[in-house]
Amino acid sequence: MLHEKGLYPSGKPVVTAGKGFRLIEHTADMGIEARAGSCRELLEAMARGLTALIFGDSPVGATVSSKIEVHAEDRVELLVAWLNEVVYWCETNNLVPATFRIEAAADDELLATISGEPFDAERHSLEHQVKSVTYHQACLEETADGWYGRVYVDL
Amino acid sequence: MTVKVQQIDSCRWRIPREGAMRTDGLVFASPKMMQDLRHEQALEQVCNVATLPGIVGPSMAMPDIHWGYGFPIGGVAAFDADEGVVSPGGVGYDINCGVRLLRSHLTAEEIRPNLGRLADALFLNIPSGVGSHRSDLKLSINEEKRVLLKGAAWAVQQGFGNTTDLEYIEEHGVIAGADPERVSERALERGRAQLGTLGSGNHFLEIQQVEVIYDEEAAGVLGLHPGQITVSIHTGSRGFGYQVCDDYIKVMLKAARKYDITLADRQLCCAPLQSDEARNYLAAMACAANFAFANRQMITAWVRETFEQVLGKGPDELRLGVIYDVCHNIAKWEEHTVSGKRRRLCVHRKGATRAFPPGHAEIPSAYRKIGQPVLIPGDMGRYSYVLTGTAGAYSETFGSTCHGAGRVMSRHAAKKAASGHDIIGELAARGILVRAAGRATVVEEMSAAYKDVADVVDVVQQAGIGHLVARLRPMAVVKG
Repeated sequence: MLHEKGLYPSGKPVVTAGKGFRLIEHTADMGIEARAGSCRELLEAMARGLTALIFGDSPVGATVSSKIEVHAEDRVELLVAWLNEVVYWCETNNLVPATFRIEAAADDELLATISGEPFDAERHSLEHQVKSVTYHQACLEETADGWYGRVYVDL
Repeated sequence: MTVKVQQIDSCRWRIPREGAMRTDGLVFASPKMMQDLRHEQALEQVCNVATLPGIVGPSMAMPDIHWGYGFPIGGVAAFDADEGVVSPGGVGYDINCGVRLLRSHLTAEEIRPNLGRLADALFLNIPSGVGSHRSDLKLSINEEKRVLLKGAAWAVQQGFGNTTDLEYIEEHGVIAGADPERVSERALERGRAQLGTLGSGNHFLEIQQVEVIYDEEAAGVLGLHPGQITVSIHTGSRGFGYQVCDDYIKVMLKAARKYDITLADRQLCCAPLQSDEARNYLAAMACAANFAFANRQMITAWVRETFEQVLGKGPDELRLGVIYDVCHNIAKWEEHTVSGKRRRLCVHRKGATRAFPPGHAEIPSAYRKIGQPVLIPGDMGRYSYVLTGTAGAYSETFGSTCHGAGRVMSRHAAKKAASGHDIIGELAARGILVRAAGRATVVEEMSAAYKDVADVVDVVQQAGIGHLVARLRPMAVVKG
């Protein structure tokens, strides 16, 4: 486990922090790490971190919602695939997420609901364009006091 | 991980093969650059690439090397057609991110009175910025598939530019073997509204003046002279390419397990070149490369229209012609001589540029005497360079060289360093106008966040893997 090797938390400087997550430094891009009591809460926190990375902290309403199903080979691939689903949902629908709810999660699949509203340049900001969430040093693991997750994002 | 490095000469360093490495690493860097590199993970990534099956020659890194995903940025590696692999991490998410350089019949003095209006009009006419998309040009899926098959030629057929432009684009603006059926619906959906957009981050459009000529003969062939106005366009395959890469990373992770390939890093996931997975990736990658060629062709047409509108001159007066257009994130089938034998190799260039030598059949006939143009953008506050390819690059780096400056400062550190500064105002005071969709991007992209590209190009010149022709100074920059 990464935390047993002394790599938890990342040890990287924190750029900003929000509800359960932190955005962390990288020379060219940025990372997201989070801690939570359960795997579901961890996945939600990571998605909130990704939202903060893309949209900053503008208040967002919830007028639209979508059910998202993700399948993967293992936990790390599940985490990356989940966050890339969020990127795809935002970009192709021109939506800003407000809330995330993980309805069910196992090691290789999850079911979630994302709620948000259409992007409005008057009320929302766009901080970064995400090319993709990467597998670089990605982790999603149970720890002694809950769950820990980390990804780096190609901007 | 401490990487052992042996100095070969003033600009070359060997990482001796050890452990799971199948070959040595070879890094082009100055002693000062190597000192800085020892503190980050890019050298480890050179070692990781060296573990991939069927690698031919060393795992290489150009002097703009920095930490990437899988391959380092600045990474070059070639693989045997029968024993080797292809890895999306050796191309990058922004497939065929690249640079195009236009020459003109204008001088800096001529356009200076209109520079502000030109910058404003370019910013208005060419979508840029986070989330940039065109509401007036959302392609049908069928039309998008035609873009993927035809590349820059599709854009010319729609009236963006002319057929002469195609002669001066790497691969004539289309990579063969593209198959839209190998691309996901997601990628098509992500790309539909983004053709003809600059994007954000380190993408830009720049009006420059030729400041220094290093090789008068080569500059003459390229049509460059001091004080002349040039325009650079730096962008790639946008959301389409990013999605293709993400889709195929999932495929390659499964393939690596299927073909029992041990990965030092998940982002190095790969498949044997003789496998269906590899063939499908290369066909999809070619689609994304062609999307990027079409993108840069459309932006070229809008640059020309903008200059015509603002300056009130026609195309015959402006003569905004394509000098060249290069990829710097790509994997290509090429023939190279290895130990005296011609071999067909899959050359990965991730943040690296092809640099074919004088006489090579694949460069435009007008340039065969001097070698392929190599376009190296620096940061927006300093300079960019034009080089040509060399026999040295062809024999040592599979005809490859650097692609740019490389970041040295995180975005967050750049924001902190810029606190209390008016970056746009400071650049304007130095005669460089900036038009940007957001101040945050300008700050994150400030000069101090990047290596000095002059140092990078100096190593390239010393090592003989590129030949200096000209230096360009920015006058106006459009950033996303």
